Amino acid sequence: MTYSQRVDRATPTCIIFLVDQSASMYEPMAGTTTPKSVAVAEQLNATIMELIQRCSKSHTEPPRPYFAVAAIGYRTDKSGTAIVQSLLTVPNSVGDLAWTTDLAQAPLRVEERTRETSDGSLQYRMPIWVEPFNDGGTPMCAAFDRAGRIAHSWVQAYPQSFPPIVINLTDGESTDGSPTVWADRITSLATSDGNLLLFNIMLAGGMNSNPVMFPNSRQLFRDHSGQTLFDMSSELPEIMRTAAVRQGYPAEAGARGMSMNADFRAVVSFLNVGTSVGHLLR
Amino acid sequence: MNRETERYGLAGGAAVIVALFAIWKGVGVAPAVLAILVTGAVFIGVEYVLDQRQMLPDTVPAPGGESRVAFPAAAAPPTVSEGGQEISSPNVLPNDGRTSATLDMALLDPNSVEVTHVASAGTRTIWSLSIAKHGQAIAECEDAVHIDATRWVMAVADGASSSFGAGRWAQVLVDEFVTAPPQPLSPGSFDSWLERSRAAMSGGESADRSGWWAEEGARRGAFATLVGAAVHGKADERVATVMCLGDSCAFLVGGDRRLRRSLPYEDASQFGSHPSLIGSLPGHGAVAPSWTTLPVAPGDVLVLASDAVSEWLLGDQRRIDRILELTPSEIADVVIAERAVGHIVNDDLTLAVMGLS
Repeated sequence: MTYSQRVDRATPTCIIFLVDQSASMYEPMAGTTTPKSVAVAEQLNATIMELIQRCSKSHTEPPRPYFAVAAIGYRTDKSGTAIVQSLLTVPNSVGDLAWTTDLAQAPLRVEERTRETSDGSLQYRMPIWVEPFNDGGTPMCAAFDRAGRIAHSWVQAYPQSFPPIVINLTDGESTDGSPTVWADRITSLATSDGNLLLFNIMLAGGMNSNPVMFPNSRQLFRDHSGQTLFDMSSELPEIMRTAAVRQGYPAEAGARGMSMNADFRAVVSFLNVGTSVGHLLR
Repeated sequence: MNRETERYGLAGGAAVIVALFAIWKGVGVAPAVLAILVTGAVFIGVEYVLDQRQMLPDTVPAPGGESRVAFPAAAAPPTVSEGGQEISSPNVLPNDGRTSATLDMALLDPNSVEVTHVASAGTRTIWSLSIAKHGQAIAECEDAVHIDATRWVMAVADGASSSFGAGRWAQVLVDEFVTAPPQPLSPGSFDSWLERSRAAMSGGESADRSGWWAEEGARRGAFATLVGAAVHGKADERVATVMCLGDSCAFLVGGDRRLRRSLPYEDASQFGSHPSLIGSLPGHGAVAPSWTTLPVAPGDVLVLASDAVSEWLLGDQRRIDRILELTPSEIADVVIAERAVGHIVNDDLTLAVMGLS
């Protein structure tokens, strides 16, 4: 059975976030006044925090190295040259990857925050690793290439692990060629537990959005960009499809790890589902 | 000047110098022309080879974020061709400094198994066995077991791995169950028992919160499943009261070594990924255990087990008969071997066995 490997020290999992940092990410998220880049950075930090929390066992030991995380930003400079770079500055990271153990120790800062709950307001601390940024074009092919390089060496080092998960957060079409070729290349990488999983989320702008979450048919999309996104998104493995259903999405058999017209809530759910290997954790 | 013009300009220049040298040395015009052609060709050839190298398929340049920290001693990574293009294989992340060799050593680590002989006299043998997950030490085991052979009470709890403090919560639950078990027939008894257990958990908590994750973890709390059993009554009318919460199981095996009853599941297919769990915080709310009273006789054996080993036992009912013929350390060998071939999932494995006299 594929996509069932337990996640532990011997078989850790690699999660790569690709973050579109093009100029249009400055536009507000659908139905809000928050720039998309800010909303994405916020949710990415929350997701990294969640991954670390799942590796935290007790007061007496630091979080375990169960996940290696990369966050790669992609944009272009004034001349249109691709800038694809790691957004994490974590000591002991190797190349673009940082273990949850090291990420836990080295956020850029930890913010004191307050959240309203049913029991009143709750003080909590929110670590920040990734800052929002937006400029230039959308060199998605270059970003997929970078993810491919990271994942390629990963699957050689951990051939028995749950395969790498690549989550691409974007608001537009690629400006450096057709990304489907690159998507095919990177999803051909595999461990004994299955092929690399590539999930794509296309953020919505404007006043309203009608998010399409985890579709299982290409026919749902009439436009080229929807079809392209569908083609290059992996089918959700059963554990994640179950997680999507538990979050209230239909996610029928064959559902893809894809969202079109995503609003903030859709981003939150999408990242939850795309990283839902929690009960595989040891 | 573009690259092409530059190349031919350089080649021509070099050829002319060689030719002038030849004429000056008096070798004649014809060899000088030949020298021009040969030198030019060599120059262009060398340039071409250099160019081809630069044009070798390359992936997109990686500015900025590339490896800021020198990579520790990974052997020169192979360059593997994939889809006709070469992907340079940069760095391989070492996991916590462990190599696969040290992980294999952990497999053989005797500290991953713990056997406790509580009592052994005639048919009445009482013992427990805990085995940590593959690759982990027994100190990291998040199952807990407690047996009181004098009062004939025992419990097994299985801490949920992705929760914080799960191992300690499992220990608190079995300790509280064995010391002062909740009473099945007394209303509110379980709720107040749970309240006591939660207080014991928060009371013993370490003040040293080493990082934001520990604070956040403590705020979220721990979860565990629990199965407990107590034997009461006179020798000829003895009963076992079994309490189950979640997918840790209890088995009653008759003197004939046949499985007489299993609780709360009867079949391996009933195990899923979302069992009922007991939370360590008041905010986790109430839970309702199931209680069962079973008549027992001398020679019967009561077995409690955490989920992975329970699922394995229910997968083939002859297994429980077979393991009860073995010593605890022989059983450890069997279940570790079964786990290694995938018949048991890589989980902590705990068995508590009480033979009744």
